Amino acid sequence: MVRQSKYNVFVPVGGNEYILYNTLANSMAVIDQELKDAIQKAGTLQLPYYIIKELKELGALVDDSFDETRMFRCKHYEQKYTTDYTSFTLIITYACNLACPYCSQGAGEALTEPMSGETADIIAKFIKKEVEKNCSSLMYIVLFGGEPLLNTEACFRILDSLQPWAKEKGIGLSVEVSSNGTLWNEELIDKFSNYDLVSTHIPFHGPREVHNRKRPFRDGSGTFGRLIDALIMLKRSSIQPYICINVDRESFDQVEELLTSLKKYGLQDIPIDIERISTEKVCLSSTLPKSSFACLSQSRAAAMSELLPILKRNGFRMQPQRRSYLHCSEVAYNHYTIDPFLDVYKCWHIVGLRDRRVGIISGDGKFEPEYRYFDLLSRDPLQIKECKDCVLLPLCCGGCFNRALFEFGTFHGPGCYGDEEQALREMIKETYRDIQNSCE
Amino acid sequence: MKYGNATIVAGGYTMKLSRYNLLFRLPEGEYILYNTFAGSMAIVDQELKKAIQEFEEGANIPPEILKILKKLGAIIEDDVDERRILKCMREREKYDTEVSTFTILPTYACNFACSYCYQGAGEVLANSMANRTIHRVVRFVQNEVEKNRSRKVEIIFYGGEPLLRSKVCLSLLSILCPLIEDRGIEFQSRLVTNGSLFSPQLIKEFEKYGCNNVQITLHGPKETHDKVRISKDGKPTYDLLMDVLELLKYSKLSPSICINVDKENVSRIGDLLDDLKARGFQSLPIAFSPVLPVTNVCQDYAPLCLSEREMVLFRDLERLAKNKGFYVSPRSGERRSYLYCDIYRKSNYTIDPFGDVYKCWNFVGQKEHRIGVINELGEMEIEDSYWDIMSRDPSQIKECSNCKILPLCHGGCLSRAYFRFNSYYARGCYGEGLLIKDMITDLYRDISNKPIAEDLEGCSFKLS
Repeated sequence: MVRQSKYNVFVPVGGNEYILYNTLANSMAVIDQELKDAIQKAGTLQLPYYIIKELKELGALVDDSFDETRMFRCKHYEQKYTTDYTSFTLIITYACNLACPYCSQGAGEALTEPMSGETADIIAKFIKKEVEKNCSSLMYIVLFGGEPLLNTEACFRILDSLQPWAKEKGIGLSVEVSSNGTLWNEELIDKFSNYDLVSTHIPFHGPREVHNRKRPFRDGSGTFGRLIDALIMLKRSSIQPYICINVDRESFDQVEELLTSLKKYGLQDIPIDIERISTEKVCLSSTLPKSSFACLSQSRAAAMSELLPILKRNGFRMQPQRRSYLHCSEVAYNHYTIDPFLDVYKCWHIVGLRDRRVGIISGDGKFEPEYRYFDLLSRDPLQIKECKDCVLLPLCCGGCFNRALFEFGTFHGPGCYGDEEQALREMIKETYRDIQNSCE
Repeated sequence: MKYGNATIVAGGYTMKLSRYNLLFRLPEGEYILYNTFAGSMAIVDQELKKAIQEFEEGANIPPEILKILKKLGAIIEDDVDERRILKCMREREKYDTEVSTFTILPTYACNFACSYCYQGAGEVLANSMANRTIHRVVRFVQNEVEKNRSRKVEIIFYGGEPLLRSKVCLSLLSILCPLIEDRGIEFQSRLVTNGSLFSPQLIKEFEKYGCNNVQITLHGPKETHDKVRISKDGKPTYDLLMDVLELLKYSKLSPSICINVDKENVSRIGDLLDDLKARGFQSLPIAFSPVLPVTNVCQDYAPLCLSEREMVLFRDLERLAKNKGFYVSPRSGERRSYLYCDIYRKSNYTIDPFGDVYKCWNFVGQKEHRIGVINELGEMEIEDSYWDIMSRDPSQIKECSNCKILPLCHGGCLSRAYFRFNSYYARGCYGEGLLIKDMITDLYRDISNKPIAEDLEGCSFKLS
């Protein structure tokens, strides 16, 4: 006996037709009303075997005895505990040369501590131990801040320790410089080009005027021009640049204007990433008044469903993303965010908030977890009432744990915005249009 | 300063009792406090025992004692749920792929006709692995080892009787051993066999490929063994196996002995040990294994199997063996692991002669438990049982989630759970709770050097 998968979404596309999308199998098919009815009544209705076979391959029908949530659980846990790679986000310094009003770290004023050489050595030691222990074939290092390029000494100290070691062990090293982009110059680019697989995100917050107001230097002057210069330099180098567009309520409608001006500089071949400025992130900062920001009150999925057509219309493309069974890579066992105090966090959005740290790195380079680490790591969307039977579970995977904590005071609550299903429907239609266009 | 439920104690935290404290009364009126989560132990007097039990009602415990109880894990911070920590450690271990283990059945056929065989003594299935399948298996092993990035690969030959198809074993080893070792990965192989088919020549061949352990099963002394473990033509096998052990003893295959125990032979194990000792096999590691019905094929034997309650006898057997100078391999629940059995690990596979993949040895040949099929490319085409088994989570099993020995037993044996309760999501323990009491008695005896009365009272673990 077969029955309908609990992860089917039907999106009407006019006429008698529907798109059938399965969130677990990530499969899609165009079907007519009759077949849709048959699928929904599967178990009571007799379908020809070859149709059943195809629908089973799509994941739209499953054997009666099979519990799909178990399949999700395995995939979720396997990814959560995989050690194929190990990733580290390093707060190279808390100091910053910008004064963005929405900064969740208080724009380098709440904390200014740089990472000392000694600390950098301890971290390098920890990284090697951890990667070795995990038998990882790849390690990701994200140089983060504050503004990491204010402390290049620590950056290079760590990379110079890791690169030859990784080569010797046959382990891939991928470095991302998560910078505000204002400090890139030819000399720095040259230096970073000595390492393999370096990428950097250059963050924009709307077109020139808005950006300069939202992401100014400490003296109040604008940074837009500097970022364009940086992108042009980076494009010529071996460093892979990405354009990160920060969106809040104000800049949301101005994305197209920003894209137009980026195009003017010939930058449309640089992949785009979207970063949402949202309440739960901004409100984490103890230094910020909670209500004064135009935070986006929608999910990333919802924002993306609106922004993607605009990007495509302007000839830009998104940074490619892999199908994941985790809401974000930060929840994985193999991810650490470490600050200059050797405090360990799971997620970079909450660095500096000591009551959110999950442990410390000891002087001899060992991770000493606190209970919060296990509390967070044991977060299981299948044990969250609202998530357990949600059709979106395989895509949203329980949502953001910070949002859950912000909304419900515990990691063990849903971390979504509630608008994800509508967003998914829009995305499905968009994909369908793309396929139609490419067929024509 | 007051202690208890709503009162903040030193350190700024509200404290509570660990859910994993066990208290046993000693004859002198003191108590053993054992915490199964922390693996810690303390002797407490009557007064302190009372204070601990009443801790959450606000009983008074002096700060210096409280500090010790915290260190022992008997009293923990209020927001800590130890089950969450266990879950993290368990899942971590499940997906740790440092070691890849492949149990390979070259054949279902067997030259023995043991009356209790859960596979029907090679009469239900008797197929052997064909050449084409060998190549599929080789590719599968290569693929998985690469995917898992393992540092160590273990091949275990199992059956049926693997040595009925020693050529299959040797041909797999001759291909896999260099392939794996050339990549700087440690390679190990072992054999689980009835032992009857070894010859000096065969031993040499297995030595060549670094095979370093052979497990041979005995069923008590000659008298009980020869009743049950007989060859297909009805001949006794005990004397033959003693000759084989003599051969193996001087080889690199370092044999170990698995002693099957049931109602019939449990009282005769001492005789077996004495005989082994007399023959100079005292240095061979031994393990005791209960004969239990795990498939419908061996149902008839069920009345002769030891009951869950009788599992405590295993401590006596182990003690007996140790006293006679044998080394007894640790049982599940005694190992430092967060999994009851290695088969729960993702990188642990059991492959039958058809190239079908199972998790547990006890499931082989029963297609409803098959987790996948190896295709021509050496990839496993996953089947539904894979998801069912891999998502087993003892913290979601009612009896386990509130059990005080969960940190030691981790939900127990998969096939036992299935056989008894027709579900993977059921408790798989079989007397583990009762053995704990004995284990703690032994521990206490070792530490204190004091003999204590055999029976400890007040264990709060009850057999469900």
